Amino acid sequence: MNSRNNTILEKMSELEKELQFLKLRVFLDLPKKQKEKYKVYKERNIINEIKKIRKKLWDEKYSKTV
Amino acid sequence: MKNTPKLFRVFLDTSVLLSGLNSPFGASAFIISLFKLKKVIIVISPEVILEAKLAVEKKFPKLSAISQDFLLSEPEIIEKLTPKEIQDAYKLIKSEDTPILTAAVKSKPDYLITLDKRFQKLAQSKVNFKILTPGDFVKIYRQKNETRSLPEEEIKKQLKELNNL
Repeated sequence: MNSRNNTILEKMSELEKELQFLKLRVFLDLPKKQKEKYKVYKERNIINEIKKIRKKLWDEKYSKTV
Repeated sequence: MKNTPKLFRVFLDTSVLLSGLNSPFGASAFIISLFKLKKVIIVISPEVILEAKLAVEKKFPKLSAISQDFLLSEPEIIEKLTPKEIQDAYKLIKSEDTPILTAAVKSKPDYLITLDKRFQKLAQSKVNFKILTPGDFVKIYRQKNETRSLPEEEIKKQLKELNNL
């Protein structure tokens, strides 16, 4: 059973590596407009949300230390 | 004797981490793929993890599983900041970005990667490493690795092997 698990894990690791190589290739080949289609959320929303959270954490937690 | 090329050590700001998980073919994802292929070292901090966790829980639930998966791939996580470290850094940059910049300085990176242009502008003159956007980092990575034929040559090799299966 262990040997079988090891084989599966090795195969998964190989597949993961191949997937990452393909992602690099797609990044280099795919036009920007098409790349946009694969985004789950808008990047601007992510940046803005992080700014809000960072400000909140600063006010509630870190600002007291300085 | 074969020289092993030095791996870039990159500290990821939270925006880059989430952007990389959000879009599989963007520049931020390119950096994460390089990390998974052991071509760069990604460093983050407990502060980055906390911000990402709060953002995913509140606004981006579809990134929950992929965030967990990323953490399982074992990026380097530096130790939690001490109040003294934050106080010292606050003298340099009076901003809510202080904890992230402090963590980046502590991690001794080659690059800090951020999508926040304001943070980049504010902090660049205060540190002795480059602060770049993901797109600019990818350009530099590709220039520096051209002579080593990475990653495109490796991609071709991999695809050839796949075709031979």
